[in-house]
Amino acid sequence: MDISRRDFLKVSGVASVGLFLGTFGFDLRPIRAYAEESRPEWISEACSICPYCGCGCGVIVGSKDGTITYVQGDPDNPINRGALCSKGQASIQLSTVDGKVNPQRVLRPRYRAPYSNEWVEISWDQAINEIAQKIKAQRDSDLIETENGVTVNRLETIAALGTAKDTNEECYLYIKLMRALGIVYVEHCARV
Amino acid sequence: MIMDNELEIRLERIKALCKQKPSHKEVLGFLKKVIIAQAKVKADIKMEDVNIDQQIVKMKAKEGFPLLDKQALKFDVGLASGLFKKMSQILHNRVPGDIEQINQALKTKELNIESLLKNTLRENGNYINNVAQRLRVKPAVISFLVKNTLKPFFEVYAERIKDYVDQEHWLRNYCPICGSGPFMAELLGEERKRFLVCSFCGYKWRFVRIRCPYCNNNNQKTLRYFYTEKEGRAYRIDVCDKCKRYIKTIDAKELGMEVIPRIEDVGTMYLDILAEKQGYKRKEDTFF
Repeated sequence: MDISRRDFLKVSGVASVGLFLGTFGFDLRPIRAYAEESRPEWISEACSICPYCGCGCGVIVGSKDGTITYVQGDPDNPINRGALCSKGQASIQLSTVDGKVNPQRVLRPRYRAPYSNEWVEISWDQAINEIAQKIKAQRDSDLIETENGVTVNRLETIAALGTAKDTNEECYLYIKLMRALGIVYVEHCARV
Repeated sequence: MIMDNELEIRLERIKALCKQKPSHKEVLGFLKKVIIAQAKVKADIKMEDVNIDQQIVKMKAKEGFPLLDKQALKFDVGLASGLFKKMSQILHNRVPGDIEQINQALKTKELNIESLLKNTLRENGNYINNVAQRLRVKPAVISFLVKNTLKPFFEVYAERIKDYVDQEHWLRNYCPICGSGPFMAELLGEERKRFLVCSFCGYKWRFVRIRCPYCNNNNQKTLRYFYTEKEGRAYRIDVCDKCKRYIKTIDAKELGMEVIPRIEDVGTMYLDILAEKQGYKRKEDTFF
């Protein structure tokens, strides 16, 4: 069978409604006038993954002019096949509440100093430096280099909590870093 | 009879749309005539049960071949000729010159309906162009007559063999039954699964939500859709910025009733005008 026979009844490369109406002598004006009265409202859709539990359900996120207007289950995702739990359905509120950006959404890293009860916004550089210093201090003091004469380089005072939603490549980098530090308690949200 | 009931529902919907949008009355009236003529023929089509070897079904699905071998399609020549003539009558006051020319050719045996239909099935769209050139009529007229004459036969055939299709695994951009392209899409159910509607046999098959049904582009940055505030979210135009084509989509849940694709398509032609104005082109049509 010749697959090119698929379009066996096509006359022109492009079917146009104007062509149809024109060829068969229809009055285009009322339809044109009706079209004039309507304005297209453009929506973009993107596939994403629900950020809550470890299931990692697929979602379709619809947005208008950069603002998210709806979130719905992705019917093509094999995990949830279009269904979403109530939390997933409400996940639009992470970004938008009643059409406006959620005022409680955290957009930059925040820092709460020891014994303080206030959160202060800090820069990403500052946050990363802070975390790096804390990890280094912890590792320097608690790393178990040998046990029973065997080199183990184990760090038992830090646990790592990853996510079930990372890609293989992200997971590779993540586990590489954790093992390099000697961390043995590696978990991810699907088991929590 | 089921067929009568089906026709009644269709006519009711056309009536409702005419009332809702008087601007589309003329073209809906035209569609009504076409649908009535086809329904009458469809009720008379007797087609034997089709048995296809499961092995062949599996092989075709895997390799991406449609189930129907078009050349092997048997149709009642008498019924088809009658419908062809009926279709020419419907077109007569629209393109009188062309129809006179065709009638003349039929009289002088320069044109034979049976061989026209069979050759079209065998030799691709070029055949229609050649016939049109020979008879000095517009290709769209011949194409309209051929397509709308064969359509009910294909519809009955599709109805017979639809259970052979594995909806969850086909997912291609052409019909698993007859191999034609889609002219419309539907979002069905609570989950808004996307189905494409065949421009020829009317079969609906499952397709991926975020993917262009014409060029298979799945880059979500170049895919978007629009709806109009006036008509609401039931009707939308999905466009692809890569191939610059669009497909009309109906959200059945929003519409609140079973979708009759052909009627909804014609009843929303202004959306096609809007889409063309935005710089997008249509690929498939049910008329020709």
